[in-house]
Amino acid sequence: MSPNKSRLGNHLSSLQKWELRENPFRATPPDDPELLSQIFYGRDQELDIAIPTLYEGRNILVRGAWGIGKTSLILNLIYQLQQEVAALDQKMLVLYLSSIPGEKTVDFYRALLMAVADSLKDKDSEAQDIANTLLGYSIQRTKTSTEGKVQLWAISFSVKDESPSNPLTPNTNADPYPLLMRLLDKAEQTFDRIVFAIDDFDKKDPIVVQTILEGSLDLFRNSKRRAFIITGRGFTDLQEATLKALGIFSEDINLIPMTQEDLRHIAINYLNSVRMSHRDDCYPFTEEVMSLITDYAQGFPRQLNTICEKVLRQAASKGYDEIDLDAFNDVWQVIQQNYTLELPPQLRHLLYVAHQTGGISEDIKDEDLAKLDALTYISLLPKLKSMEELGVLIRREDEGGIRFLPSKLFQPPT
Amino acid sequence: MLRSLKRRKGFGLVFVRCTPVGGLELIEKVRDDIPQKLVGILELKEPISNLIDLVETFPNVENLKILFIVGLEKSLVEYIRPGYGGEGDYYNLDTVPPILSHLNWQRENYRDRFRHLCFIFLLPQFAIKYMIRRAPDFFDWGTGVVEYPTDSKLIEQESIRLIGESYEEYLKWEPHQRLNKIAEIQSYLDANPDNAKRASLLAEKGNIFIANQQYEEAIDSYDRAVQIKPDKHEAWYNRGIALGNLGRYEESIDSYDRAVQIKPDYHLAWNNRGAILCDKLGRYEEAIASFDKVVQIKPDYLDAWNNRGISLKDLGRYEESIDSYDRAVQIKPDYHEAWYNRGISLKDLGRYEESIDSYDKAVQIKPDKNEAWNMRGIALKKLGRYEESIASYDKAIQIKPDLHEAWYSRGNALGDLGRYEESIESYDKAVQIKPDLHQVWYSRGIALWNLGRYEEAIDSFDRAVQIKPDLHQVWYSRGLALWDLDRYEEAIDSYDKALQIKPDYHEAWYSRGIALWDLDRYEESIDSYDKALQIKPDYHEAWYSRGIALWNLGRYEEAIISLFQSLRIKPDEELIWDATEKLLLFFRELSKSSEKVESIKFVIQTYKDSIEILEQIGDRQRLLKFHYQLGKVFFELGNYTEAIENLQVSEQISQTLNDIPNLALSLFDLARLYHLTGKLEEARLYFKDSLRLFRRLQDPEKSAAATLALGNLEMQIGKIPQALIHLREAENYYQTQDNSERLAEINYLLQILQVA
Repeated sequence: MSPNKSRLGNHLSSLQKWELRENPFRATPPDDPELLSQIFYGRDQELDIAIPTLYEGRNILVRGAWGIGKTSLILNLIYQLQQEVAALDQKMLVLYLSSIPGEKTVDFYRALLMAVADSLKDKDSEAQDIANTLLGYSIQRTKTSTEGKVQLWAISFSVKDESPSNPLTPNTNADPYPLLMRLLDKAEQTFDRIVFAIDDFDKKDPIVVQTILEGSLDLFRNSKRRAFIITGRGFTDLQEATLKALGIFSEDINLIPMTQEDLRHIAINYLNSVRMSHRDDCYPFTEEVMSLITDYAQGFPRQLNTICEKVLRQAASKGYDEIDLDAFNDVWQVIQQNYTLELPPQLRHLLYVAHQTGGISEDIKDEDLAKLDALTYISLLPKLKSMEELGVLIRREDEGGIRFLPSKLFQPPT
Repeated sequence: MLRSLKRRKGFGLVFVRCTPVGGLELIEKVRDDIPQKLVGILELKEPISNLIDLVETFPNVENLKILFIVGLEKSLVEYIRPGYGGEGDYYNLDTVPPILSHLNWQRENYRDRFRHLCFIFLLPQFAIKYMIRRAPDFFDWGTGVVEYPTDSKLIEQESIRLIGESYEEYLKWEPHQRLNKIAEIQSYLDANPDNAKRASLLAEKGNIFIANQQYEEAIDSYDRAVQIKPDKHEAWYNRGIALGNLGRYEESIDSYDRAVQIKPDYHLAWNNRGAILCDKLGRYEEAIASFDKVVQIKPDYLDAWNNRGISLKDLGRYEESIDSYDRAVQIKPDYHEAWYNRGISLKDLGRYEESIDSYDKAVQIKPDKNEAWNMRGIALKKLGRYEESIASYDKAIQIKPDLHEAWYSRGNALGDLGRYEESIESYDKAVQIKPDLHQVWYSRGIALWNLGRYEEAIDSFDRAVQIKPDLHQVWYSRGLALWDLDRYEEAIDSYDKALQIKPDYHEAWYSRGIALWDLDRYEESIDSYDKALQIKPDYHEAWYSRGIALWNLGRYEEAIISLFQSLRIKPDEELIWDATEKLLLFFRELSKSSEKVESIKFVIQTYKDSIEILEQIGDRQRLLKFHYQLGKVFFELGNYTEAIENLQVSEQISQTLNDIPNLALSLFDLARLYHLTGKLEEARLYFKDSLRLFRRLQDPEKSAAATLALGNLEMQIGKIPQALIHLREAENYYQTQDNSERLAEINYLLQILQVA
């Protein structure tokens, strides 16, 4: 390592040495369908079930903890579906909606209405009318892709604060549900099939979620040409039971943590996406180190990505020839330290207790609760859930129930 | 006359009317003209009642031929009374001057014992007239009255000599001196001086009369004087003084008015005028005008500044009064009266510190000014400096031990310090000095009451109302003391008395209600409370007690409403909240069995209203309880949504307050609700946590209930192993309790599991 070289210089020359165009690892899955399909690995069983189900107009529920790969799965799934339906020379419209704003059920319907109206506006005057005048949201197609006769749109929403200009057109106060149903019929005529992929559905209040599900039975049930695939962090067992009883979802996919093997493949895929020439190993990581990393990831692709990203960057800056055990241990210390210090003390404390007790679950001992200054497990849940979202905790499920474990990036005090 | 005297032989009585100075002249003349006869002069300097003895002991009386008796009129002056017409006609018809009766009765003795002597009585007109009336026989033996006129110049001279003293001067004289002078003046008056002198002599007489406190006579003299000489301003002035002394204030003022009419710069008259207007008639404005005149004329007339200040104070113009006092002490820095008065005005302004400074000045100058010590004490008390105030009172009492005001104030100050025993001692002293101080008896009663000596307190109160029967406060306090002795009926009588006097005495109505309640006469007690509330609608104590009475009568809804009124007025009173809570629970139990819908609605509304108030005042502990209770009501009604809402609030508050027992209960009930509303997973977690807390609280009964509920739920969800564990646990407990009902339940569930 030459002291005269710039930091960036060090970094870039390492990457070059490793024959990587850039650091490929990132926490969220790539938008580009091609890239995503390159990187995506595993979940074959789930894909086997899901694609036919959606094609047949049945609904799927995908559950899983944060960071376990729901979004990757759903994106990959709809891309594959698009490919396969296009290959059959059939028409289909796939709408991917993430983060639907609003707290009320009516907001949900309005969002769907907007999306559907937008898809029909070129062909239908009523849809155009609605699309132009519906208040409260504006939508953008952030991604469109057409394969054969299959269109895939990713739609994002922004909230607008507006007042009605035309009393005849639907405004913020009108009930969007009947309009939605009508437009859906039209859309199904036009597109043959429609698939709604709704990501992070249960970010809303559970009551709202339940109300939407229970109150939209004809939306979810009544058509062969219309399918929903909904992801969520994980409803409670109960809600699933209800849903099963209501029969909204034909399939209930629970994403379990991935195996180390699978994770290794994903890492290799990521590397290959930026390699100058394809390889089948995880260079610059040694197998030893990759084994360690995939263990630390605890089955979570997001954890894998975060760890790999940081390790690679640190190692690049330090100019290692390869990332072997020594190198890894060296940079891992620093990474852990930085990560831990950036955490607010409260979170650090909770992580520490989680680490000490081997994870926080509903069977947490009273003394440990006392350490966290809490009287009940229930009172901890909100914080645990938000820490899961931050990636600081990971949620695993076993026979004992749900357990929250600290990310390996957390460095417990000695 | 001289000729006859020369010739006379033997006993004789001659009465000569002359002035004192004329008499002297006559004596000289006789001496000169009749040298052959030995002449003696018996000068009477003071009143006598026996002349013979004096004559007998007169030196060389055997050889005397002529004896002048000078000054007999002095023995008659005392008996002069005004009013019997004409000048000089002063006869007291009731009494005879002893000397005259003596002369009358003893005339023969005179003749017999002094055969050789010729008595020449030199007398003024009035004495002669008196003698003629009251010693007629003696007089008849004389040769009539001989007139010896005095030269008018001499009369004038003498007159001038006689006039010019003020009554203040005469005050310093001995009474007999004053009498003699009156006699003298009268003599000269009888000698017909000119008008000017006559007026002056009369006025002079008036002055002496004032000194003698013979105000009527003084006024009469002045009247005569000003009749003759209307512009005699001093006479008007002194007349005013005399009238003032008699309490004839209006007339007094008229006199002063005349005086200043004549002599506009007569500052003394202005001052006196002002004093009467201020002190006696309460006509402060006019008084101030008078005093203003005084200081206009004589700016350094202290008295006027002082009096002016007092008048202003009486009008409530305290600042101005202080200015007046300031002027006074400017002129005379050690004018303690002004310092004292200044203190009073400052006190009236509430400027107690400064008032104390003024009092301090006053007692610096005059250490024995007990009023100042007393007032100083009062000011200190107002500042809450009780110890110091007592020291001040002590000083006042030292100087004037019978200053009952100070004893009373002392008692009050001790009472304020809570030193009741000592305060009673002080009060005792005060009433010893002046037994009719009802205020003191009352305060004494209060002090005794504070000591719990109720009987004695009542005695004290009795004394007070004996003196002044319309003291409603005392009757009321008396009632309270009787109540403290559990003598409820008598207490009510006392309250009634107070209410007779002051029908809107709401405290009395309230206490009356309490006493009736103690007698279990609930209806009547409510009537009393109602009366109190009519007068004072925000009387929260009355609302509360009314509520309790209604509760006793089984009129629960009205009771709750009453209690709630009390809460609305005074939301931070634990007692009322406790009662309301209890009553609501009680009423709910009742309503459960009767299942009256209206009652439940009413209860719910009350809880909601209570919660509103509790939120306002921020009483979280109680808010928790009320939300919990309301949650339970909804639970029982089957209104699960609202039940959950309320229980969630009580859960939240319990968390923040670290109130484990209430948290456990809230969690348990929420768990049941979640179970009932189909949220099984949530219910499971809640049962689990409630069980955790029940175990922590070491409550086996509740722990068992939670365990059973949890096992039941786990069974429903399909967590069989856990369900089994929990059911067995519960089974163990209920076996020890021999609770067959529960055991049957568990058995049933277990059977289902075995089969499954």
